[in-house]
Amino acid sequence: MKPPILIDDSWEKQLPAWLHSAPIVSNWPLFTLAAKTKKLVIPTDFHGLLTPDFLPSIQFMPHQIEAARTVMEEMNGTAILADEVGLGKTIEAGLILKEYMLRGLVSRTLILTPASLVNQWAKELRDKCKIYALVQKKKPNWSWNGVQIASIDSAKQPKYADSIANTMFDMVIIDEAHRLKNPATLNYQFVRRLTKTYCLLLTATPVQNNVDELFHLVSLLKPGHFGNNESFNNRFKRGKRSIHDQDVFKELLQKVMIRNKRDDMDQQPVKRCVETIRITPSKEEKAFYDSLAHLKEDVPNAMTLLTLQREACSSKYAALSTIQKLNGQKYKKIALLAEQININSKAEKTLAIMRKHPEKTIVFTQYRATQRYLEHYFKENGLLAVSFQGNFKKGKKDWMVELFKGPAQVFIATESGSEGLNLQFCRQLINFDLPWNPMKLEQRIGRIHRLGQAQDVHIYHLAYEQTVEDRMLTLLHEKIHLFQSAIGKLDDILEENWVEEHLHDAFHHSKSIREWEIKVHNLTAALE
Amino acid sequence: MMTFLKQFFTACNCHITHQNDESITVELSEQVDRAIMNRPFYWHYKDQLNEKGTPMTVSFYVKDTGQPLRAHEEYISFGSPRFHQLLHYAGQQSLFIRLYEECSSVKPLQLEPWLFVHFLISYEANGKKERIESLALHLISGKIQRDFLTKISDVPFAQTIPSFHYVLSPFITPISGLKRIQKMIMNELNQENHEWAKEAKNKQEKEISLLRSFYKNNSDNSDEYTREKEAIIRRFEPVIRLSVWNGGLLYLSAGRCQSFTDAQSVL
Repeated sequence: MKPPILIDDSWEKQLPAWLHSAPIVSNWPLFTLAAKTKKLVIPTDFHGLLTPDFLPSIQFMPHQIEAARTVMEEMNGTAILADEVGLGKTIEAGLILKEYMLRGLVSRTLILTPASLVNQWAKELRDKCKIYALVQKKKPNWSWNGVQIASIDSAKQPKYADSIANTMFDMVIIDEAHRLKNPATLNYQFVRRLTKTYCLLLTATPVQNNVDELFHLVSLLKPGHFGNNESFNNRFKRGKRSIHDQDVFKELLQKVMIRNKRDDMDQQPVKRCVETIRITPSKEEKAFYDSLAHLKEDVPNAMTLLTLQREACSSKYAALSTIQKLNGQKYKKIALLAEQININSKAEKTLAIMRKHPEKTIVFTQYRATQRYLEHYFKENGLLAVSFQGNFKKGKKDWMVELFKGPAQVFIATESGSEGLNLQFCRQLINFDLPWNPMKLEQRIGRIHRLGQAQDVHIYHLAYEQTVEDRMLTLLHEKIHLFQSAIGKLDDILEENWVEEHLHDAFHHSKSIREWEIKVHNLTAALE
Repeated sequence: MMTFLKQFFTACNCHITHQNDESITVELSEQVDRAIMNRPFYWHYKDQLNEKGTPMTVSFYVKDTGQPLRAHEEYISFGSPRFHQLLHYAGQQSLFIRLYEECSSVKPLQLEPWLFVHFLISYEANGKKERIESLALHLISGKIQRDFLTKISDVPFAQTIPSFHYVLSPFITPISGLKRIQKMIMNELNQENHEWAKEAKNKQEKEISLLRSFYKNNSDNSDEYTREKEAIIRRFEPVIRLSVWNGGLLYLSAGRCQSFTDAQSVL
């Protein structure tokens, strides 16, 4: 087999003109430099990756490099990347794309993602892989010869679908590809119509209990890999969920899919140091907290009292915002007691921690009122703080994170909206108050204790002594290693959802605090 | 990287104002600014007013200093688009050269013509590898020299024919000289072992037969089949591409030419 040799004659065509033009400015140093440098950067081998050497400032993880190499050398640029959440699929895809670009095999690229991830993709590609992608917005021009990112929902609209289908892309990357499991959907048909040379499908949950779905996903990537519909059914399918010939099936699957699991990874070198700090409330704080117990008969049910007590453990402002809604003499008295409180002992402690370890710190609280109070408190003490809320617009969220990366020292976040934040540049986290759900706690910690964190992380739980919070801490969070041992399995736990449902039920439907305690006891027993 | 930047900006007549291990600060020349800074409106505006523009001063960092970058500061590495832009610019600016060896001689000295070309040879299939051949053809004898850039790296050159030097006319035109070198490369390529191409072709056939099996009972999807088949062909089809990266005419002294032949006879 002799491959055809194609000669690019553009230089030859210009040669006569150069020969006859009298003055030619000949830059010998530039000529030499251009030749030597070109020689240095061209791929001298079919195998191996150029990218890691070309982007020395980026530390790629070994499993990411290995994945990219396998996709290049064994899967020929058509693959499903199915790493578990948090192992950096985006970076893997970027690494593969970069490698193809550096080798001059790929230029026009289309990346389709959910609308909410478009900007994040652009940022990751820019920061991690030095790929400057065009984000397609209002008036997209699909023929742009470079990397472009669009949301799949906007791209599949009838007004664009045709022009996209008629464009030839060197590479197509689709994020959250598990949405493409049903051939009857518009998404699937749209992707089927794309003309592309290389294709990457990204998903964290490739097998959602249904063999057919996996078949359709693979058939989108490589039609015929699992045979056609009929032969697949005969050969592999047994009922809706289970598979014949498991080994052959797995082997075939491994030829198109890469799945790294957290369990298989080397032990994370980053340690997590958790310190629980029990705080003695001031006299005023204790009086306020104790007075809440007198409301027992007046509040609608015991759980509201529990809620109130937990709010009081955060800050008086959090509790007052609830108390204000109630009427009567008793409440006024309590409000008066609240006014007596001049110092929030927890806030003082927080400040003390930050003075002792002066570095960037995330403070989590469940209450907006507390968040506002803390922002004010830090400001008074000369610390620049940013508040982060889930209902901020995308741009504002990004800006807040940038501020925290830059000048701000404290990042005060409420629970909602913190999912998906990457704050690995910070390694100190203070839980100003504690959620009733340990999974939530794990998610909070996950903001800094995640891939890319280079140093040990320090977590502080703050709780007032002899309060409801204290009891929660004993009950739930001191059994946290129970959950911690399940970090790898956390995804499964969350997926299965029953633990969370159970906790939710215990918290919201218990008639008394005692009942709640018993329910949680039962749950932890079941988990053990 | 730093060596490249230093040589690049020096070669492009840009003034290096500051330099250490981490960064280099350069006052760009107008030509380089126009070519790489992507501000056509500024230059258009200045041109319309018939004014002289002020080229930018830019700092390039080769290491991450941990500090956030300010305006007109950027990181550069072999993988960054900026580097590829600079390399492309260097290639474009040196596509063709014509230079004369400068010997400090008071007697008349004869210079012989050489066609000097850097060929880029790309092997493409399901992967890609490339190499650069630095070849020169003596336009009088037709002899071809390899690895030519190394051989003449310390030759002093002049833009015009230096005094007391005179130039021999070529027997072979540069264009037919180029054809000769191409022919030689083609011959060599044809004799190479092309196992890689065979492997790619085998993989390609396997994938196409899988694809055929998928669509065999489904005649109304012929568009889809064709599209997928073409994708497979693009992914695996082996081909060798031959192009010129840069080149030109060099006039070298007879003594220099003699030294090449001597070196070869030793080999």
